[in-house]
Amino acid sequence: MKTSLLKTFLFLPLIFCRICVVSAQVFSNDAAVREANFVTKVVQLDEFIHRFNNDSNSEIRRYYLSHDRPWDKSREQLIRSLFNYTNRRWDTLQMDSFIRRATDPEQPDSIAFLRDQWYAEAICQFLYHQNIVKATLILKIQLNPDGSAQWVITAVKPWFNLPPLQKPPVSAVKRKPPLPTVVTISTVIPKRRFIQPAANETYFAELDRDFADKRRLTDLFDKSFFERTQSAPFFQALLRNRIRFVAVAKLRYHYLQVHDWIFTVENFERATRNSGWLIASIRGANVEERSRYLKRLLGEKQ
Amino acid sequence: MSITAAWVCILYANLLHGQDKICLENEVRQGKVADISLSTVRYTLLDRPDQPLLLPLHRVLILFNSDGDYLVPSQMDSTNPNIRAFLNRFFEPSAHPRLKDQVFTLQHTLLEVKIVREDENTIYWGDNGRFNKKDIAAIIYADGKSKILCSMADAARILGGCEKTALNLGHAGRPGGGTNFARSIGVDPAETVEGTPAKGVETAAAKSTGTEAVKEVATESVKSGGTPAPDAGGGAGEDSATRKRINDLLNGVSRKEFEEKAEKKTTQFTDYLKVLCNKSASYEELDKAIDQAVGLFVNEDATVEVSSNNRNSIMRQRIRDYLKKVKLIQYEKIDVKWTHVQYVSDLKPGPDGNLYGTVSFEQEFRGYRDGKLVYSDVTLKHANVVLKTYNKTYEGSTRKIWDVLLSDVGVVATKSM
Repeated sequence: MKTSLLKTFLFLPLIFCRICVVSAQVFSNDAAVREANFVTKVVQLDEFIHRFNNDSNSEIRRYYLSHDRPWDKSREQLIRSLFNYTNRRWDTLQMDSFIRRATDPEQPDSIAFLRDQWYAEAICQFLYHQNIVKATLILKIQLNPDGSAQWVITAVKPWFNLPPLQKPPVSAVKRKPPLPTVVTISTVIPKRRFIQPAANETYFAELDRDFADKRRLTDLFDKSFFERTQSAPFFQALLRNRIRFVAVAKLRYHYLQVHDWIFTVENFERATRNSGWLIASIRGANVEERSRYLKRLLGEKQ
Repeated sequence: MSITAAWVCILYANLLHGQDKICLENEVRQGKVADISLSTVRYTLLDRPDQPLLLPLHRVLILFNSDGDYLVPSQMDSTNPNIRAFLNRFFEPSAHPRLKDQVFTLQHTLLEVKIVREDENTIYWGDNGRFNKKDIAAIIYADGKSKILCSMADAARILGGCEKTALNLGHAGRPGGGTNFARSIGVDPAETVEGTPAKGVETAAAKSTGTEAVKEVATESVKSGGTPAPDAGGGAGEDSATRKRINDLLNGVSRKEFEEKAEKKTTQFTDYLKVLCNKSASYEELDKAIDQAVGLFVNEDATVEVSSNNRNSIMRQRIRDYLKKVKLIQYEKIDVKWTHVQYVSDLKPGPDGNLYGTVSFEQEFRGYRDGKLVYSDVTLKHANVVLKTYNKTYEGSTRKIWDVLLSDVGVVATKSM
């Protein structure tokens, strides 16, 4: 055990070295190497946030301290370790500028889960006419007035053609009988359906259950969803069971929480220390560019 | 004397009519409500108009305004982004002049009638209509007066659950305007799968407030489409309401305690999986292990999703089905090794009063038959966990207890060895 831990410590600092490209590493059966990989890998999005902010409760910091190692990593070093180096080369000037902005001593920018200005882009598989088709769902965290939080779907971009909306004939609407004078009051307090706030860590697997509950389907969507052009046919198809959710195939997060910058985070699942949830792209963006980016992300007209 | 008394009665009745009514469990306070927040009601009493008073909202069972419109705080959806707007409707003049009285019965029905007469036991309306008062929960008269005829808690349940009256300000319009939208595009949420109407869906709900909900949507969207600049300062990010909510729900449970229990539950789950793979275990032992493993989860709807490294292949099953499948794969001996580290995410407050988080861990599995290694893999497991708190009353004292339950599990096969 001691030898294994010693090896672990020897490997750990490597991730903090300022390197542009880390060559892919082959899988190793060595328990110590695997543990080192697992400790440095950004396994959860929360861990990404903690490392980005250099929070005291990041798992990597806790691991160091629990093994009597001093924690002397700067926030800059930590942010650098959060870039995907394995299959991407970075413009170092751009990266430096981004890190300088995030760690600006006058006005540092941290990121947070329970805050707005970030989105999850879930590329989903649906079953449609016996075929697997794709649609991108854009989700965001909704903070409720009572302090609770939930994911809501704010936009959809189907990768396939859905038939145009069919409105019921006017005569059918008119034929509805008027409300009776005596009505039954429901004895059941209506329960709302929600996408729980930690659902992103399991790739929103619960959407399978959520989409099946047609009576509470509207609960899952943000109100702005219903104003977007692509929403109506998709919502109707879901409601009428014409499409069925299969799974989220890919997940990407878009962060607009750092001033003048937008960056995306993706999961790089591989047996190296530079793995897990890492920065996949960064771009400088002023207010107008951010607005355009957001419109494009949400599938709105430019 | 009797004339004076009659004048006093008339004057008092008129004064009362202009007043709001605050119904507590065993008491009704007449006064003027000045403000309603998510946690308190500020009001003045009829006889002490210069002395503002404060009541916790959870103590108020029903609030009537002078028009007979009402709020039942316990049955309002506190997660609805429009909740403040609903509360504020209490102060708006009634938008729906009424000709009929509304009678809420203990049988959970609502009668709209014009009461012409009533005595101690019965109310009467035209064409010999009558109803026994012992079966009535509440009456809200066309002029805005109201009368509760059963226990306040029962009345609150019945009035609060009634979405078919515009008087109920707490249910006016569905959250997000989604229902209205669905109707506007010709989809009635009462319909589910093609051609099958859903049972019990109240199609008349939100009818009266559709235009208002649409207006709110429009205003909000203009705001959100504005400047996308992040919060200034870049602090921790959680607002104080969220932090307070988390602390309230934790009720003294420390992060360390939560982590220990969450890790214990994931270990137990793996232990049951080991039993299921054990060839020498009897049928009874295997079935018992399945039941016990399912007992670790929030409910039987929890799923296990097994995916490849790149998520090209994904298979999802309900927990019991997954365990039954595991039972069929049996080895003479199995060996499960853990990495020494588990990632436990922050807890996040859900709208249902539970806290949600995720535990992630890596495992190495080896299965042997006839003394030979026949299968091995390394998997990364992410388990959603739910921290639930309960009130337990024992011998008169109430104690808050808590537990961590597993929910959906994602299994990523990182490597076959």
